[in-house]
Amino acid sequence: MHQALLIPEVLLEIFSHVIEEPSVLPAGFISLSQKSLAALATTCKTFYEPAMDLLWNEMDMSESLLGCVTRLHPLMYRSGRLPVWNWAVGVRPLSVDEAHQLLRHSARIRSLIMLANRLLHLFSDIPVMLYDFPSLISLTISTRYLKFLLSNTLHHHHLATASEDLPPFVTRFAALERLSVITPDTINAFDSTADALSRISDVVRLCKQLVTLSCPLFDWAAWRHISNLSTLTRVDVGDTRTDATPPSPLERDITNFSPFSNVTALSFLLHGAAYAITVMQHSQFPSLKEFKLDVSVLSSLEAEQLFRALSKCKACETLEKIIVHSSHYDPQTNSLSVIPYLLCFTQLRTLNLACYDFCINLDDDILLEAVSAWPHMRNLEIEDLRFDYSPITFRGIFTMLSLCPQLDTLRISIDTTAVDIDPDVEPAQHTSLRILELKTFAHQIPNAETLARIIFSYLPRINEVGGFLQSGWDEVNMHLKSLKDAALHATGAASNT
Amino acid sequence: MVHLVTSDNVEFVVDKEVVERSVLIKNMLEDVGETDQSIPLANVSSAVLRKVIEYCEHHRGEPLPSADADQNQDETRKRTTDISEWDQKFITVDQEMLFEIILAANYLDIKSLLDVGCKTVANMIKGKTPDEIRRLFNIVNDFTPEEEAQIKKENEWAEDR
Repeated sequence: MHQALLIPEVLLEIFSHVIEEPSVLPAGFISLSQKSLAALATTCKTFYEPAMDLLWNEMDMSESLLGCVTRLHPLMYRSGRLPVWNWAVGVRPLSVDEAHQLLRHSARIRSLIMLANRLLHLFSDIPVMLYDFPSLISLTISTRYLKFLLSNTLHHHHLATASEDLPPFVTRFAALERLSVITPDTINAFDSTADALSRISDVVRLCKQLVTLSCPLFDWAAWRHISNLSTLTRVDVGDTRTDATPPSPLERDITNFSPFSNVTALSFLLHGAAYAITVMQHSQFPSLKEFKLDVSVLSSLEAEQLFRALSKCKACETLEKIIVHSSHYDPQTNSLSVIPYLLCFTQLRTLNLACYDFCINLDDDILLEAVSAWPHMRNLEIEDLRFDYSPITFRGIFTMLSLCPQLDTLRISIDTTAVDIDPDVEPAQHTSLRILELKTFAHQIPNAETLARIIFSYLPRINEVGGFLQSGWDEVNMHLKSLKDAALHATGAASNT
Repeated sequence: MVHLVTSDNVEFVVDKEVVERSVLIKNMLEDVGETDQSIPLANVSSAVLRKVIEYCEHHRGEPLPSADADQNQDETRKRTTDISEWDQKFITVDQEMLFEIILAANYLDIKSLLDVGCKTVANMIKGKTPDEIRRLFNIVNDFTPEEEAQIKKENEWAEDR
């Protein structure tokens, strides 16, 4: 063996290059990197430690760890292949001795996933004090495992002070950089929402170095805690099973939080919007670049509160992306002036509004005022509920495009009753726009050929126009294709001569 | 110009801009200032230094990785296994020379050259069995059969299925 392979830092450098680009593999598939690292660990004693450190760096608490337990190994691998999903049914829990086997390599693990609920019973007899992952910086955990690991004897005030007699696993939360808490589908069958809220809030408050946080709802004390974490850059709050009304502990004791100084991305995936609105009303995000809200229900009143709060959260100079979706359809169709709240976001590049509880007030003038305020806009997508009428005209669209030279995607509703621009005027081409969806509820667009000529001349990268009723655009797209084909043919003929 | 003397006592006179791709030499020059004295490189032979200088000449003027490059940047660098066409041709050498270049790059602290060398070795390893790796690098299996069986058992989740 060459002496270069005996130098630890060289060996580590070589092995780290064995790890490929992270790629999404189907569940149960092993990457070439993992196979290669496993082979390296078995090659010789010199290779063993660095290869094992890298191989066990990211680990799932399921079969990978349980395979270290002598009793379980033959049950799992009896056919020489990885186990079927229900291999653990009826298998008795691990003993304390077996827990030591399980955790033999726990010091190597920096990223741990604890989600497999079908295996949870195997851990039921192991004292929580045994769990120790001293190098852990990233944890993805289901609320079931969380409940199991945070014993009921650990009361709220103990957790909050993180006293020294807490289990090592619990004290480890202080060093976590990435925490993701997942709620299993059947949560309500065994855990009340208030208990889950309290437990998750406790855990969040234990974290001192979080960079990213993704979890269901947590209480205002936990929000106040994370508002003081200068390491925090991303917060994703999601729990669609939660009622529209936040649980009772959230209804009191709220004061403004400290500014979230380095949070650049904030998202909420919820049933109702009240929780997100309350957070936004009491917070400042001076570094925020992305804001996303995806709810089932968003009334026009709530939407107004939300956009008002968003406009006041100190992100005017930084916010680049706003996505707000609600899926509930309200036939009352209240209308709301949303755009004025968003004019302050001068760096906006993506605005995607799809709210079906109300109509967004929009016409040519509002559109022009908006894009004048958003010179960097690239993706503008606004869903509209007005089924029979849109005040936006072709003239408005094309004037807007001239003010948005970087626009890549435009999805908006339009009045197609008249083509109010002159197709023979020398066009100033818009060379960035690639995707154009103009929602119209007309089954046929008048002056389809004229319109196709305009799009062909003004928008050279548009090959077809999409819309709510695609059939309405069929004739336009047919003419557009003919023009493109003719131009291609002419170019080909010219290059042959 | 900078004078370098190799382990087999051969002197190379190299452009300062070229040789400063080595952080070790750059720091030395900063410490001693302008000098005509030769810098001894006791760990590098003339054959290897010739290759190292060829590499540094080709990459002259390219930005050096900053000392305070954050961890993410480092991870990206490590995980990008692509090697440029010129670097690939440059590193197509026998195994002994490949490891000597890696040693020299490590000693002279030339990150990008160390990357090229280590990526090349990593690419040779990928997809091979322990036996194939041992044969490739002339490695003796110093595990007992029991130890080897235990390791295989613990890592079975990462085996082919």
